[in-house]
Amino acid sequence: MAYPLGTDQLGRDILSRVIYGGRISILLALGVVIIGGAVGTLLGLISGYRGGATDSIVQRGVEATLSLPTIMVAIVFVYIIGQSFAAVVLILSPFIAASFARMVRGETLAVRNMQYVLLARVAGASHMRIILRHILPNVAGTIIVLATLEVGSLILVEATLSFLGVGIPPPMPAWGLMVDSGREFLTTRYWLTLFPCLAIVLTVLSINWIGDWLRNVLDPKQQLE
Amino acid sequence: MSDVTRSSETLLEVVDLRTFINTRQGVLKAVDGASFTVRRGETVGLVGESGSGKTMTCLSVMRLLPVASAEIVAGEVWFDGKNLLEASEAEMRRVRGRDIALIMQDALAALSPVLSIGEQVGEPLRHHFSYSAADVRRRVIEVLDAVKIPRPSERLGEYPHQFSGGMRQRIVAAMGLGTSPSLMLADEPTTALDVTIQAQFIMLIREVQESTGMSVLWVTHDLGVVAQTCDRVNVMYAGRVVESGEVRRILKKPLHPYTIALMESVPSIGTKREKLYQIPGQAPDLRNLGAGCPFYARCPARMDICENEFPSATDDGAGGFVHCWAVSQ
Amino acid sequence: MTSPILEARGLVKHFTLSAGMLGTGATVRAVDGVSFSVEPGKTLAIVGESGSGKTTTARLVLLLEEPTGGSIHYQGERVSIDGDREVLKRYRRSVQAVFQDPYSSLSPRMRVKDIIAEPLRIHNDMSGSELEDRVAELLEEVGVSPGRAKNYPHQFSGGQAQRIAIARALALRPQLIVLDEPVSALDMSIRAQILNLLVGLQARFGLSYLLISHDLSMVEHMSHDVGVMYAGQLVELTDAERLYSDPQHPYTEALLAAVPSLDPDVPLGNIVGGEVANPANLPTGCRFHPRCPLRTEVGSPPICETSDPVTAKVQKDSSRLCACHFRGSERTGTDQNGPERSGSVHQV
Repeated sequence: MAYPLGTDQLGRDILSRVIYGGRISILLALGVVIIGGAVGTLLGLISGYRGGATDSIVQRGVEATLSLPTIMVAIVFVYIIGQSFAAVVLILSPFIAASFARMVRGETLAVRNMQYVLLARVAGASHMRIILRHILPNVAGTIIVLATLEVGSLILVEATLSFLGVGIPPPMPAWGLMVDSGREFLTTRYWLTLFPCLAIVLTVLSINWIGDWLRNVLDPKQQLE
Repeated sequence: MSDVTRSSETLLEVVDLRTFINTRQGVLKAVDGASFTVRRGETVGLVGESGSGKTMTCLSVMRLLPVASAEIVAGEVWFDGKNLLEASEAEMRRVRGRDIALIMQDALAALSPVLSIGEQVGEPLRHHFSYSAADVRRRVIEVLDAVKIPRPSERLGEYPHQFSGGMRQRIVAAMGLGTSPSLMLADEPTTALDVTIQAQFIMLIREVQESTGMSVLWVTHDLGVVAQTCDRVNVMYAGRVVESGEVRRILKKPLHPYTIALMESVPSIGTKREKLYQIPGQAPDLRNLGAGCPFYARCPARMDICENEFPSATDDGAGGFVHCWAVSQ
Repeated sequence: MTSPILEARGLVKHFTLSAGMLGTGATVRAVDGVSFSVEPGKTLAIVGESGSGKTTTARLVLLLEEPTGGSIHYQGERVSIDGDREVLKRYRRSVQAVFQDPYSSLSPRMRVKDIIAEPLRIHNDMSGSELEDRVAELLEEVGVSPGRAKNYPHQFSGGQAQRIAIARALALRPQLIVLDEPVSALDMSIRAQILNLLVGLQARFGLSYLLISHDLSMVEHMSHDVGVMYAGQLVELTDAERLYSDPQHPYTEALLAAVPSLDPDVPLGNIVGGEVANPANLPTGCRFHPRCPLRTEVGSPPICETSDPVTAKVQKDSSRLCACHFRGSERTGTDQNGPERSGSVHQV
């Protein structure tokens, strides 16, 4: 069977476009999560550990970023700069960073006052050691879950942006774009829209499940005797 | 200890109570054949460490098991002539908080932070009786006064966080006492309190008992509290009552090796000991209890028979009993 | 008298509760002028109820908090968080701690062998197989099988976890260990094991202990000297034997009277009423005066309300103290003929 999922209005094979589109969407989502996540985690750790003025400044920044409407800002940005992979990554990263910073800061605050951290200080541990060996490992679980959630949500954001024409530029087969171009054929050749939609749903679901599994696997308490 | 004339009428009789919890690793026998009685006006102690089953026993009496996987599988709980284990849920709701009160260790967790103390102390009254609002208010003030909360009429609208730890525990007691219960189950009510506050609380409960004739089942791990509050004591280990008796007899002449070991391992002011007695080993796994005595592995007086057969009761000559083969010799 | 290994001089720690935008917050005077010393190889216990400031004092000694005032001296040298780095490093090696909850004291994501090895790694003492051997040695010292070193803390019972915490505290061969309620979170039958272990280690290694506790029976068993704290101040300080047989300060008497005796025929003593003083809102003068039975006995003289005996009395000797206008050999100026306990004159 030459075209198992059919062809689109320009005769291109939908299956291969869905697969390639997936690659791009996931690459983008991973890229943003890695960049934004790394920056956000760093900010959260420092801000939570040091407290005081540093914390206040970072917090204000985070709050400001999180009160902006992500999609709208992204639309405006890409519209001005022009569509490209890099542009989308650039504008979405700060939002992810802010989300990580807030989460990691909260966890850091909790872990910082744990007795084992106090005892590490009593033993003479340096701040760096405490952050890397004590705080980070105990925050890692939450980071991973957040990361998977954000990957899922980013795939959706990217699909929205491409759908609106301000995401990944054609002819790259982004799922959102495919959904958009299939719109006019919704009643007649619904599969142009259906398959990319299904792909989005299944991907996001699987990523969330992987995140749950990862978090369980990494928790030492789950290793029963 | 107190002047209350006690009839020898039995108020609570627990017979061979068994409460099990189903876990993924097997059946956990939280309570494995506990039997004891509480008479009217009496204070009875239930002593044990964590895992002894003392809390689960209280909850079983109230039929308030904490998890869905817990089940009372056998036994009888006779309260005022009725077997609570055969009562309907509706009947239990009439008993709970009205005839039997339950207070626990963590007063902060027992009190809702968003309701005033007036509302919370009044709740059992509103639920069980058809009092008018004015009557409820009057009774709430009365009972807060009885637990020595200063200026109760002015403080009805205040919230739990506005009171100190000791006062919160007294408010929790007030919640239980409003309906004039005949029995109070007190599960480690003073464990988290400072020692002077604990002393105040002990005296308070004693006064309430003297004026109302209420019975108390005092659950604790602190033998000093037992000495100062109880008429009779039951010692629990791994879900069973292993020794029971008059408080003086138990504390001055303990018979069960576990009771003896416990008393030797606890430091007490005035008795100078070079080294505290260490009970070897650990508490048994409640999922893997055999048919024998659960203390077998750690007992200095163990014999072969102990491993396979749980000892029958031996009379202590003073109204109590002990389950130990070494003693029944 | 040998020179003390640790000395606290006039330690003060005030916290400000922020009231947000509406005016200034209250000042919590958690620790308010506390001085004591710990002798080498001996145990000094600090007892008190909640709000007494004993836990904050422990944190100050461990340099986990910066004191608002006063100083800490180790083997004669002053130590502080922002002081000489070398001195601080030496202090960190020599002073360790064991806290109340063993599970919170051990990082849940680290294996026991790494937990115990950490202090040694921090100070670059050892590595490789030498480190492994030392970890095994320490585990044996505290009675935990070295084969279990690769397990995680939650796989151990409470008593074993506390032993591991003790092993970690011993890793650097400290001179002094701060024990903050070391057995309060453990079951009764386990407490004896841990207490015996601690006493044994003290004898073996000549350790000094600063024991913080509210459990007066345990303190009597383990301590050489005892200090009683109330509302941020030390109100009595003396050797353990004397404290329990002949307490001077009314608060000490109240504490001891409140401990329920194991003998049912010995009733609870005179229970002192009222609540523990609130460190954010302290009484004037002597902080115990609103609840003090002695004050009532001597006719409620104004001095208790106007003058704080902790500051009013001159402390000749930092190892003996009784902060009361009517007890103890040092009398405050005015009332030379204040009442004594019947019979003897007490040399405090």
